[in-house]
Amino acid sequence: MPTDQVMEQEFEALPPAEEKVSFTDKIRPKRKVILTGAGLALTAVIVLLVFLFLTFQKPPEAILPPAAPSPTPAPFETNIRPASPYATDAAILKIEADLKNLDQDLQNTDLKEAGLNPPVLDMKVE
Amino acid sequence: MRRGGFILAFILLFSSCALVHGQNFDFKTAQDNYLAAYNQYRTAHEDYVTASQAYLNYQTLTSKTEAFSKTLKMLEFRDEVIKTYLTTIRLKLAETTNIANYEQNVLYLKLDSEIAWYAKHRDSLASAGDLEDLISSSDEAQRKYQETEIFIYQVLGSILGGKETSLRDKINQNIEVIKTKLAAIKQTGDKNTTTAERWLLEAGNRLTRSSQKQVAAQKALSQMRTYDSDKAETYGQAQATLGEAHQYLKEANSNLRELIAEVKNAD
Repeated sequence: MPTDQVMEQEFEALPPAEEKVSFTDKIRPKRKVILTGAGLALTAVIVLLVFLFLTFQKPPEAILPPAAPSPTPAPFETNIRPASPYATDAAILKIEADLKNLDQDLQNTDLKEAGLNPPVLDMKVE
Repeated sequence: MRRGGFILAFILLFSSCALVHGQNFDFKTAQDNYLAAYNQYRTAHEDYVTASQAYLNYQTLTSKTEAFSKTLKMLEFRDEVIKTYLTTIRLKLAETTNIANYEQNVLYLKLDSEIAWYAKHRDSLASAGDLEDLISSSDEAQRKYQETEIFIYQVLGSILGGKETSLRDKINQNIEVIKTKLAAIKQTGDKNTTTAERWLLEAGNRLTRSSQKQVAAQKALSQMRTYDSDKAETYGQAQATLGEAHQYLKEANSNLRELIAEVKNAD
């Protein structure tokens, strides 16, 4: 028996190879379109939900150290201590008024005098 | 005879009008004049830029003539601006008290000399024959202005320093009055003055520091040189130092107010 014949016979004896069919090939094209669309829509909804969640989520509150007990302001001393014989002294009252006026002057003094700044001039003529 | 009397009366009337006008020429009027001159300068400068650009583009005789006349006008207004500005700060200097007499006189002399220079320079511009002459005159003014600028900042520093000195003097006067009063209180022995004396000492210390800061500001201004690139910045720093001096004055006055509150309370 010639070798070629043997080969041919053996080959023919083999069972025919089954054609591999993928899952997607099994689905009908129309259904495939519907499923793809649904998948995309679902993804879009999830993205939208995540976006909305992040947008409206309250920022995490900063962790603040426990508030230190603030000292209660002591009442102004003049309210507690009795007045001295000089509380109504004319000279003291005059000094007090002068100091108050001077305080106003100190607050109102203009140390910038922006109106006196030198003019901006183009000194370079070409 | 009658005609002579008429002329004399006219001269008297004229001189009295001039006197009234002179009295009315205060800082505000000078500032208004300066601002008006500055506005005219800005318009003239815009015209000069347009005309010089046109000349550079077309190089025609007409555009050259136009550029010359616009440059001349702009330079005249520029000198006028500097002159009116110097007059303004001169009058501000006159209004400011507590500047040492010798310092004020020196500044007046310098200001008058600067004003005269710019007035003369402005008048000399009309004799320029062409654009090159004008550029040469402008360069001359530019070199002069570098010195003038230093002087301007020194005058401004003196004005601000005068204000500070005035306030410090007032606080000093109050310190003296309080010192006398505290001595009297101490003598009677009906109030312990130890705390008040301590406040007084503190106020005095603040005044000393304020004075030191003011000296530092004046020193920075006096060290300004013509080749300094940013004189305005040096002036800004001097202003900031004067601000610190002012803060010390506020604190000194605050100490004195505390002192008075203490004196008004019983031990």
